[in-house]
Amino acid sequence: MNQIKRISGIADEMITVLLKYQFTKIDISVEPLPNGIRYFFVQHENSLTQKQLDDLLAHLNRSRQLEYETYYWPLAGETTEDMNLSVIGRMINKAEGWIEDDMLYLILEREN
Amino acid sequence: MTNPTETKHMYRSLLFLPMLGFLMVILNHDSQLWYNYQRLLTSPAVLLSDYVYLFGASAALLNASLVFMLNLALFYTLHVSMNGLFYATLFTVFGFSFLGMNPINLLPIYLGGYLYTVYNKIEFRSTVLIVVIAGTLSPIISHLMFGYGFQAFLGILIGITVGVFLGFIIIPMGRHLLRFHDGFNLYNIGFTGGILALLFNGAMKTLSHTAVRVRYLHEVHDPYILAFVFISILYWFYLSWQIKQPNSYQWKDLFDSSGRAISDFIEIAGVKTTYMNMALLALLLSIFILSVGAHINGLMLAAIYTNLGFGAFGKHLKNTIPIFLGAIGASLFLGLPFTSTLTLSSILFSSTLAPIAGYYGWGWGIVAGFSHIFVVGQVGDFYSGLNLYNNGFAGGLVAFFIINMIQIIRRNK
Repeated sequence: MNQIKRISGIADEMITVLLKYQFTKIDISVEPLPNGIRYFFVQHENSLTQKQLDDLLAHLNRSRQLEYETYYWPLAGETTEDMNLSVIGRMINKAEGWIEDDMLYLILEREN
Repeated sequence: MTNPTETKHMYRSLLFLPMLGFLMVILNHDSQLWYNYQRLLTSPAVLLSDYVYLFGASAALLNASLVFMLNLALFYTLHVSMNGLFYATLFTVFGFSFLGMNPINLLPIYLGGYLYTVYNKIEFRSTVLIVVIAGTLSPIISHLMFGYGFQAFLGILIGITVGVFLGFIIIPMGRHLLRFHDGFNLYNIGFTGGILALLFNGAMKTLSHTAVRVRYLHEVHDPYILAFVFISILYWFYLSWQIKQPNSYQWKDLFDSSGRAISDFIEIAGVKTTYMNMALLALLLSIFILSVGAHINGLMLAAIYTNLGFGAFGKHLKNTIPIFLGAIGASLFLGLPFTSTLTLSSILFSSTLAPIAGYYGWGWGIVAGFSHIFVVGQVGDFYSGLNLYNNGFAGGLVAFFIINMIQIIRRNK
């Protein structure tokens, strides 16, 4: 049950972050991998700049640390006013993102 | 991230502290050392039992140094990352080993934490930092063993059993309570410990077993303790200075961090800046204690080293000073004496609320520090001193109140 909540917490936090910007639609898909899970976020007509995206990815690509994840994961989804993402950065293994034709694409991968 | 050689070197550099402690023990020539240390290990250890006052500087330093080495060896064996929480845990437990923690009352909690990981099929490495800092409940174990008046063997058996149980449940309980204050109270395990101690104390009182709060505090300067504090802080300045880092000091990155969990300064600002931040916080506190005419005793040592440790995990000058200002303001308002160790400890530990100042600004930080003083003096009696991180419990309540007040006010705008 905790694993499911951790996975949904990551999605929750990412949606919280994306909702702060202008957009017309957000698509989310969650796909199981042989050894983990992959999230795919697409934000249509987004207002995020390349600099903001780079900052976002820098936070997300902090090294995964089990010492933090095991205890602090309930705080995932609690991002409110800054783009700290300090919790889910420690819960995922890889994040990629790019902006193309006013569309923001984000891929997050988490290993079991 | 550091490579294995660097990690080994960093672990080795931490050995300076217990070695300095042992050196002070040797220089102090305490002929009663072993006798005093045996008494320390078998004391009820309830808050406020200042080991420096009760058993002498040598026994207190020996205990703290041994606990430090025990924890360091445990972390090294388990390949624990040397992140911000690592330092916060190591130094908090070190500091409180002058005021209630010792190997006898810590090990059952560690064992319980280990059994929790076995039960849940997870690596002990992933929880060990929280399990170790959960020593906040160590007075419960000591009190069961040596304080409630049980028959010796029975008391020890009950103490170990309850300690293992507390270690087993502290991770999920603490995790659950994080949401109570949303990571704005840095000593969350103190808040969790307070709840558990409250439940335990209530049950024991119902069974006619009462833990009596004590107040044994060293109120004179001990030269070996003073030397130990200032040498250890200077050493921390030296460690920061000698680290070769391409970007030198990254103060902006550090001060931009609110301090709210998880704020790992090692990762945010690098080791060099973090070590300097830790040393500055500890120096500031030590000078403050001495400048108001107070004494560095067990409680002050706990405050100094806890703040030093959390200088790697949430506290920096920018988010801590407003909290201190609020706490000092409340103490002045209430006419509390600054030379009193209790007043000072409430001020120094109020920095558990530093993330409020870092996140919502100095104004709310001052309000948080001010409010903290009104609460912290009253909550210890709830659990008869059986939770060492009293300020963590009070901080959880204050953070809950303040952040909800902020949300209410902002929504009404």
